[in-house]
Amino acid sequence: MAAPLRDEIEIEEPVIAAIRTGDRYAFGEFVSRHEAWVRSVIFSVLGRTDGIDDAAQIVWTSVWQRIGELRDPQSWRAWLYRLARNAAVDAGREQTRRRNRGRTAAFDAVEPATYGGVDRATGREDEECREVLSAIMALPAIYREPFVLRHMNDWSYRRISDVMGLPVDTVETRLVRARRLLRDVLVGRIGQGDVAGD
Amino acid sequence: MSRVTENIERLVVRSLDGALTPDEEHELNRALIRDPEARRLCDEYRTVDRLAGGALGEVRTGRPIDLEAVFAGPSGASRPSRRTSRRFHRGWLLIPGAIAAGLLAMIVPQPALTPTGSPSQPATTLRTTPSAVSQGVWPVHENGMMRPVSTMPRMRSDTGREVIGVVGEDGNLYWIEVDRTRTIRVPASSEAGRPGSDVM
Repeated sequence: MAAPLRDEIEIEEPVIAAIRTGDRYAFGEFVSRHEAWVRSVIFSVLGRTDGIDDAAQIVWTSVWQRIGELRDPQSWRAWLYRLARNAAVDAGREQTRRRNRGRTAAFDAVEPATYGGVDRATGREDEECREVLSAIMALPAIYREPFVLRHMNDWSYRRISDVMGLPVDTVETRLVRARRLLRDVLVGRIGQGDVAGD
Repeated sequence: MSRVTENIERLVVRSLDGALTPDEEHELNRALIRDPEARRLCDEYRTVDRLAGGALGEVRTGRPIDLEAVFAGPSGASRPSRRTSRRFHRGWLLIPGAIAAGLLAMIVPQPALTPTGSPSQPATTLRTTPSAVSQGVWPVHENGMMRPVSTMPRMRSDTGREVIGVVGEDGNLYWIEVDRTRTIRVPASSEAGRPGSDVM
């Protein structure tokens, strides 16, 4: 794994040091800065939109409780990524268990059209959004993860490879294949006019 | 798509991700000028990115993190690394463990072995016969354990048994109660097997 980018280390190291002393304000700042990409990691691993909120709460609780275990503050992003990923994996297992018990029929019925409690299946744009989100969720996990990290956070190949522990070339290849798969699906589902005409 | 090489496809993707080098940008531009399929692919991927960006934007926001609930739990600020702590305990536990093992090795004798080499059972049901003893054969345990008669009076200690059977020189069997918490040492010259002898 390549060394973390120097600029972000310099920005976050004092914040992490403050959190390690129990500074709640610093923790709140840290959450607000990185909440979005933590959610993107959870979504990319989980492949579903329900369960993200609960998993994110678990992640930040873990950060607060386990910040003392972060031995190298420079590797905070990879550490946080692992916490988010593990929480997502656990959430996925829990969902699978519940689904096997037949308790998630309601979730399956509303996913993802009513995510966030808002019925978004109204109008063509909402329908298109739902279709695209479904296509992304249907991607194989190895392609979905870098694709989501790239598109939700605008991360560079280098940063994605840092947190995922993959070579940059591998990340690039997976991004190409993710786009290829999405294009093949979306051309059929949304219509040639949308994709080709733009 | 079939006419667009994988290299051009890779350059298109790198272009959309802002990762092109100047040389790659030049190469892609030449491909886009001369190949309508490359232009079409570029348009399609650009549209995919736009749609994906819009759809994923919905995921970025959700229920805010409940910081009060987070702070209600224990803070890791004052706690050392769990891994470090575990290593610390492991290392220091070795010392009393080694001492205990050494003491145990000094106190507990080697168990009598059966002819097959397995550890013997407690000798609470040892039985023998006067004739067998007088002939110098081994008394036989109910579980098949045997013990040479010549070693019987040389009983030294046993913290794992409550009662030990000892065959005396007269061929009688003597039961000796053993304090489980004490080590009992009987000198080789003592007459442990003598009837009525007190080895305690």
